[in-house]
Amino acid sequence: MKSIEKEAYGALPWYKKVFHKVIHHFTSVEDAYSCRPKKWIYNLVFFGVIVAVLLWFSLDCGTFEHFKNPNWAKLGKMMEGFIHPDFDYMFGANPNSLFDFTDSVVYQIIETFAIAFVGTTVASLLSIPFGFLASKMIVGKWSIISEVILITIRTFPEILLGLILIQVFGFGAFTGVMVLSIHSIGMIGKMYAEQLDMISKEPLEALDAVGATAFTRIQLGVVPQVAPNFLSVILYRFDLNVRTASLLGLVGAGGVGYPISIYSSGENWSQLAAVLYGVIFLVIVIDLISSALRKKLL
Amino acid sequence: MKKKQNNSSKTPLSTYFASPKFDKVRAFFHKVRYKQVRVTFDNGKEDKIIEKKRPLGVYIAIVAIVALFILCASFTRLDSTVRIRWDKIPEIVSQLFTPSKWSLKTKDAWWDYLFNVACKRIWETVQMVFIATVLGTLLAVPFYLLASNNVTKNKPVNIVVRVIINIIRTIPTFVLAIIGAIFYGYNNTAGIFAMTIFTFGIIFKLMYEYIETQDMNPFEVCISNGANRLEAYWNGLHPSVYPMFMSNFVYTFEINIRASVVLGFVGAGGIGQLLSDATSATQWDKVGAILVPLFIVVFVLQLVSNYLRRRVIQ
Repeated sequence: MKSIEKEAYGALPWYKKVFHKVIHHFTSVEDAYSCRPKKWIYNLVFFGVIVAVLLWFSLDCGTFEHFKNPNWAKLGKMMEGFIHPDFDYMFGANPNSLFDFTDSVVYQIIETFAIAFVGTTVASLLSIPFGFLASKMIVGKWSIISEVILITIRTFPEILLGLILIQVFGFGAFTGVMVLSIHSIGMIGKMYAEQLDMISKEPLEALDAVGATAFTRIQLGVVPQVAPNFLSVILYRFDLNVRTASLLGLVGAGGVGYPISIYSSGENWSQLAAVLYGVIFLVIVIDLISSALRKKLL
Repeated sequence: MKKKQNNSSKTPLSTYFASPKFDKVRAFFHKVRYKQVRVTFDNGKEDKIIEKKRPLGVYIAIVAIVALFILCASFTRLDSTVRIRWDKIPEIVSQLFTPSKWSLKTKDAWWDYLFNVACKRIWETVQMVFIATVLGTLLAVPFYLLASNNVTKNKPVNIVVRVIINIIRTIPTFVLAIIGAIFYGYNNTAGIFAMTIFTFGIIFKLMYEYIETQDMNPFEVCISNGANRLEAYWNGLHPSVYPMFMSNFVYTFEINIRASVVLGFVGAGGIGQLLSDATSATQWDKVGAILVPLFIVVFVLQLVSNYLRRRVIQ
C-alpha cells in the first residue's frame, strides 16, 4: 500500500525524516504508525554520549584501578570497631577521671544540635529582609540585586567560610553558629522569595478596598498566607543544618566533627564508631521530627 | 433478658469535672482559653462582649522556642565574652590574593598555580561528580520503582525498600567519605563512592514521592491492553515523569559539586584535598588561587541548573 502522503514523506530529505514531525493525513492507522517520529534515535544518542563520557572520565580519574583492589583488611578492622563501639567514651564515663562529661559524645551531640538550632533561628530572622527584597512581586525588577547577593552567599562553600571566620571568632562553637547563620541566609532567603511570589492577591485587594494601612495589609494579607510555608522552609533548613554543623568541626568550628577528624586519621575505630553512631542517631531523630512537623504544617 | 451494662460501675472522669466542685477551676481555664472583646457599634446599639479563642498553641510554641534558644545559646557560649577580631577580615582577604614569601613567591607563580594546579583539580572534581551522579541516578531507578505504591502494588515491598533506603539516606556525606577512604584508600574513588550513595538517596526520595502524585490513567490503559507493569511504566508513566527525572539529575549534580569541597577535608580526593592541604599549611594565597576558579564553576553551574530546571519543568 503506497499512499500519496507516504510518497510525499519519502521525498523529504533524510534529516527532516529523522528530526521533524511531519503532519499528514494518513489513509490508515498502520500507515500513520509506520511514519511515527523516531524518538528512539534521540534516546540512543543521548544514552551513548552519557556512557562514553562516563567511560572517558573514569579512565581519566583512574577509578577502575582503585575500584578493583579495595582494602578488605582495614575494612574488617573498622567493622570490628563498629560492632564494639567505645561506650565509656560515648556516655562520658572515662575510667581515668570520674565523670568526664564535656569530652563525651553525648555532650558533643548536644553542642552540635545547639549550633544548628541557634544558627537556623538567627538565619531565619536575618533572611526575612533579604527574602522580601528578592521577591519580584513586592520589589519589582530591582529584586535582582538581592537575588545576586543570595546566590553569592549560597555559592561560597560553608567549610571555607568556617576557615575564614575561625580567624575572627576563634576556635569553638561560636564560629559554627556564625557560619551557619550567614550561610543559611542564601537558601532560606531564596525560598522565602519563592513563597512570597506565589501568594494570591485577592486578600490584599480586599484590604485595599476597606482602606487598610500598609502594616495591616502585611499583617492580615501576607502573613497568614505565608507563615506555614516559611516555617516549613525553616524546618527543612534546620534538618540540613544539623548535618552541616556536624561537619563544621572538621575545621575546628565546634561540634562533633573535630573528634571525627582526629579518630579517623588516628585510626581509633571504636571511638570513631561511637561518634558516628551519635551523629547518625542525631540526624535520624531530627529528620523524623522535622518531616513530621512539616507534614502537619502543609 | 438481662441487658448488658456498659461499665456503669465505673463513673467516667468527665462527671467529676462536671460537678459544681470544679466550677472555679473551669472558669479559670475558660478565662485562659477565651479572650473577651468589647465590640462597639456605630448605629447607637449597646456594646456587645464577644469571646474570642486565644491561639494558645502558638503561644506555647513561641515560649518553647525562646527557651530552647536561650538554652542552646548558653551551650554555644554565645553569652561569654568571645574576643572578636573584626580587623582580621580585611587582613585575610588581602592575604588570599597576595602571594606570600612562604609559598608562592611571585604574582606569576600565583596565576600559574591558579591555571595549572587549581583548574586541573577542579576539572578532576567535575569528572568525579559526573561519574557519581550518573551511577547514583541509574542505581536509584529500580529502587524508586519498587518503593512507589502505584507502580508496585505490594505494601510490604514498598515499606521495606523505603525504610532501608531512608536509613542509608540519613548517613551524612562526609561519614560515607570516611568509610570510602578506609575502603578504597585516600583517592578519588572514595569521593565517588560517597557521592554515588548520596545521589542515590536524593534521587530515590524525590522520584518516588513524585511518581505517587502522577495521573495513573495512561498506566492503566497500558495494563488493560496487555502490557506488563514495566512496559506500562515505560509507555504510560515514564513520559510524564521524565522531565522531573532530568531536573533532579541536574539538581543533584549541582549539590554534589558543593559537597565535593567538603569531601576533600576527610581525604576523599577532589578540590577539597588541595584546599585542605593549603589551609593546614596556612598558605592563604594558595587558598585564594583555588577559591577563584571554584567560585566561578559553582556560580555558573548554579545559574545553568536553575535555567535548565525552569525550562524542563515548564
